Amino acid sequence: MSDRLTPRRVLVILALFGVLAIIVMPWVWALLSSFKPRSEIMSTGFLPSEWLLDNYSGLFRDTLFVRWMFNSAVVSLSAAFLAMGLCGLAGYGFAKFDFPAKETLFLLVVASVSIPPFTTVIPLFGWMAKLGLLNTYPVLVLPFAASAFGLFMMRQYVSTLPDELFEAARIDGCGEARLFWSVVLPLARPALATVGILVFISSWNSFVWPLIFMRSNEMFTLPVGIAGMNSEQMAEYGLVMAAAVLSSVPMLLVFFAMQKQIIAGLTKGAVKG
Amino acid sequence: MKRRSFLAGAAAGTVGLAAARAPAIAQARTTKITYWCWSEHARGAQAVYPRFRERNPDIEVEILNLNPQEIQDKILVAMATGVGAPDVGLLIESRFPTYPPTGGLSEVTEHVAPREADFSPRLRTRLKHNNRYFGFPYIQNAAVMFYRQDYFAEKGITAPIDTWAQWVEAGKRVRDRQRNIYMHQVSPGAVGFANLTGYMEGAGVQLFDEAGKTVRQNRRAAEVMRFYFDLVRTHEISLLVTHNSPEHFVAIREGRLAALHSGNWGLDRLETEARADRGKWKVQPFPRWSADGPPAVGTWGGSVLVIPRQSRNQAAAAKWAQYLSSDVDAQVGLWQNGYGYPTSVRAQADARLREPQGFLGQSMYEASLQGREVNYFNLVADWPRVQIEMGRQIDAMFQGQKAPEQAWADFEAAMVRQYG
Amino acid sequence: MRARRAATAYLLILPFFAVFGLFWAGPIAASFLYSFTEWRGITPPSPVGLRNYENLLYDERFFTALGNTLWMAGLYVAIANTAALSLALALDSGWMRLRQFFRTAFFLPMTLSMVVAAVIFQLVYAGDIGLLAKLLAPLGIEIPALLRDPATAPYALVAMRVWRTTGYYAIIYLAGLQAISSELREAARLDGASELNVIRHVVLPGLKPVALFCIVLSTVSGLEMFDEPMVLTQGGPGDSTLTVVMFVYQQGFQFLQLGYAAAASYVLTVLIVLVSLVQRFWLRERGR
Repeated sequence: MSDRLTPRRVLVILALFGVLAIIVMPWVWALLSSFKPRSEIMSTGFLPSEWLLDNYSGLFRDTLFVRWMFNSAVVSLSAAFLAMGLCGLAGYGFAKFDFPAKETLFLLVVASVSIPPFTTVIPLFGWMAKLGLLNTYPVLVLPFAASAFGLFMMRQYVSTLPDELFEAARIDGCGEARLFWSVVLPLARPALATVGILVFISSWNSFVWPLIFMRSNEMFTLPVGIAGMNSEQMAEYGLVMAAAVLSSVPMLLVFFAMQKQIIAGLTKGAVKG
Repeated sequence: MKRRSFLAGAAAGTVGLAAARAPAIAQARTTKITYWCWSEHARGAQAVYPRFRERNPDIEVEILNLNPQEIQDKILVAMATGVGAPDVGLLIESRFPTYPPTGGLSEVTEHVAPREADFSPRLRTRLKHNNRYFGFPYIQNAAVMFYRQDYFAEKGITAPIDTWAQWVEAGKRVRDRQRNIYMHQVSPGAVGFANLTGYMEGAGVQLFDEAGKTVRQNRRAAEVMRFYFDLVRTHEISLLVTHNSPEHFVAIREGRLAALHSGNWGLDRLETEARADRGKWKVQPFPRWSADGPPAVGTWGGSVLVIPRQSRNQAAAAKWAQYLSSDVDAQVGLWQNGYGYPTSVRAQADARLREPQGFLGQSMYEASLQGREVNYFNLVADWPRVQIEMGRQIDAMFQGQKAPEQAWADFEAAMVRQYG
Repeated sequence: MRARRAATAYLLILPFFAVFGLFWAGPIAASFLYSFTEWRGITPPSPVGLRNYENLLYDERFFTALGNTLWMAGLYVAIANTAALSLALALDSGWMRLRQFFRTAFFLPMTLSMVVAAVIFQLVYAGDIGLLAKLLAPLGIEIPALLRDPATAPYALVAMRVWRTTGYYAIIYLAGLQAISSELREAARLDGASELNVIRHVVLPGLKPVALFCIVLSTVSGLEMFDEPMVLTQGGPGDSTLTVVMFVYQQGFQFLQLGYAAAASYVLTVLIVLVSLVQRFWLRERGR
């Protein structure tokens, strides 16, 4: 293929930049608004008349933003790592072993994706209270760690690894634990990374769950904390914009740093589905 | 000028953390309770808390500032599952009737009944379930009318405007198509019903009788509905935009509204949203339906203190709720820090209620509330159902799909199906 | 030996299923049972057989919600997948530089949680002061308050969701495209096939599994739409954005009809399962 710019290619590039503008615009607008004084947020004009850091300092002074960010990070990272462990183990089990009720169990997990939110909240709430888990990190970590998509993806990926490899290792006297640790894990790294990031995303963005299971301001995660700034009684748009901008940074960094692994995982995991 | 409202929330967090660090000896004697409320109530509670602490050194209150909708939902989940409720919670008054039948609230008759004389008889009915009290009267919110004196003066209008008919006439003079100025704003949807409530109650309308059955052939209600519609579509003096939405705030700030119908707590919003127009805004009572009618107004929000049965600190919780509900200084403190209109008659008589508010340059109590009787709807359980149904009809009416009378009839029919 | 292998397998899946059982399977089963009861709070649920399901049949608002959910999800799936695939195809062209850059930019909306994005969009759609109105004003286009009109509110919500997820799906499609061997495409081109023909006969068939993945994923999330109507419209105006999950929320959390709410969510569950089965079947068949 040549690198010449034909008219059609120019059109495609222009269209891409158009789409790019649409996609980026609300975020950029939030960024610009976050530097505006309170009275300008909803007025005409895109650029702040003067660039102020008031919204950011307000965010740190008047809200528990840092704490919420910390909570979100703890919860999402734990969920991601735990999911990699749980789904890695189970995915290996499903991909390379035969056992009674295998397909039924797998279908059960896949079907659970169809359950709409709220359905499980009421029964769970009672159980979590009995276990003393209300307002604790585990109640936000564990449900996301048992990720149906994660299991699905790990199963697909591990099943693409050649059986001979495992047989050879076993003949060499390799135990299952070591096999998992030193063969499955390294080979499945792209898929694991993908599972990690997908779980990270869904945990980082989840709203209903922390809203109901977290009971105090210090235990809220970012979405719940930020949504609280926007109630009908107190709409602090400037702070919300600043919070929105800051809250998206960690995820952007994660994506940026791990892009290769994610793409590789998606390619082999989802694609083989 | 007041700090941002959730400051109180952040402060509550700090109070909580500080409490955790208190010496162990003190902790052994101290009962710690949690109180869930929202924005201006959290601020008010913070303000009156030190006095409570002085009198009850053995009780520590963690004041948690949450989104009001979230509080209702969370307490409801707690009612359903029997766990996770605070020691004292603040409920939106219209949603209160849903809670006592769940069996999750403590009966508080022994605390509330002895001081029945100190609050409105209508409130007595509201807070009772099967003739027993399940809530403490807290604050009521009456409908008032804030207005721009400069706009009125420009058109030679003298406030207070007594009746709705006069209001409409004045509105036609104020309405300026060139400058895009409206008399006031009314809301569509379920929010619109919250606003309409103030109009209907002022007219003495009831949607349900005291037994909770739908009032049928409710002509007066249909008339109020027609009036609400005419404000926007016939007289074209009112801007149709959701209360407290970004558009609404901008319209206030850009001076496109000559008046704001609201509960008395609306002053809190004006102080933040219309900071630049300090001194231009005044307040008057909600207009009456006729010049010879009673000086009655409707409600605009209002909330109730409850103690969930799950609370392990019933006695301490009751003390805190009773303090907020009945202590004159506390009730006045709530007025001074968020404009919650005291339910306590003794607090209403307090001289501090007559102090002028800087933003208005007049006493809101004297200018808009004093001497006004507050009418209340009879509530039914699951009030959001009523709100949502009414919201649908209001929308259909403003979309031009049906006449106000038809919208009212359809609403009534739906209520009859649900509540009989 | 086989028994030992099975035992090992069970050990491997045990941790996952322990957590899954407690947080998913258990509550799912429990609330299924609740859907056959009337339950209003602390008093224990009382069994009512199929009455909740029967009542749903006569509930006009439930059907409104079901209708809204279906067409909004359908529209969302169609637009999001078409747009994502087109973007991916454009980016996949060999001459395209800046692929990395675009990919990161496309991911940007996903970094805003749905609730935060909804708050921003509240201001994007806010009538004549919203971002949309500001952007279109110089072109002489007047934008009404989209969220206040039942005719436009559902589209506004769908548009927001498309905005948020299209880039993400484009990344997945792109990953799929790049997995299709370039030799295959090169060969087809050398045989004189036009660019469009290459896409139609080589690329698209190879993309089937990814498409299935994206379509099923977006369908499930579309049918479970909740955050946007919750933050932006509360299901209004006039129930025009009432989705089934929003309906469930109102019944369960506002009216405290927990059994009824559970029944409504099971109807939706069945619907989701059916739709994904049909999609799976349809895509598989077409590929043969």
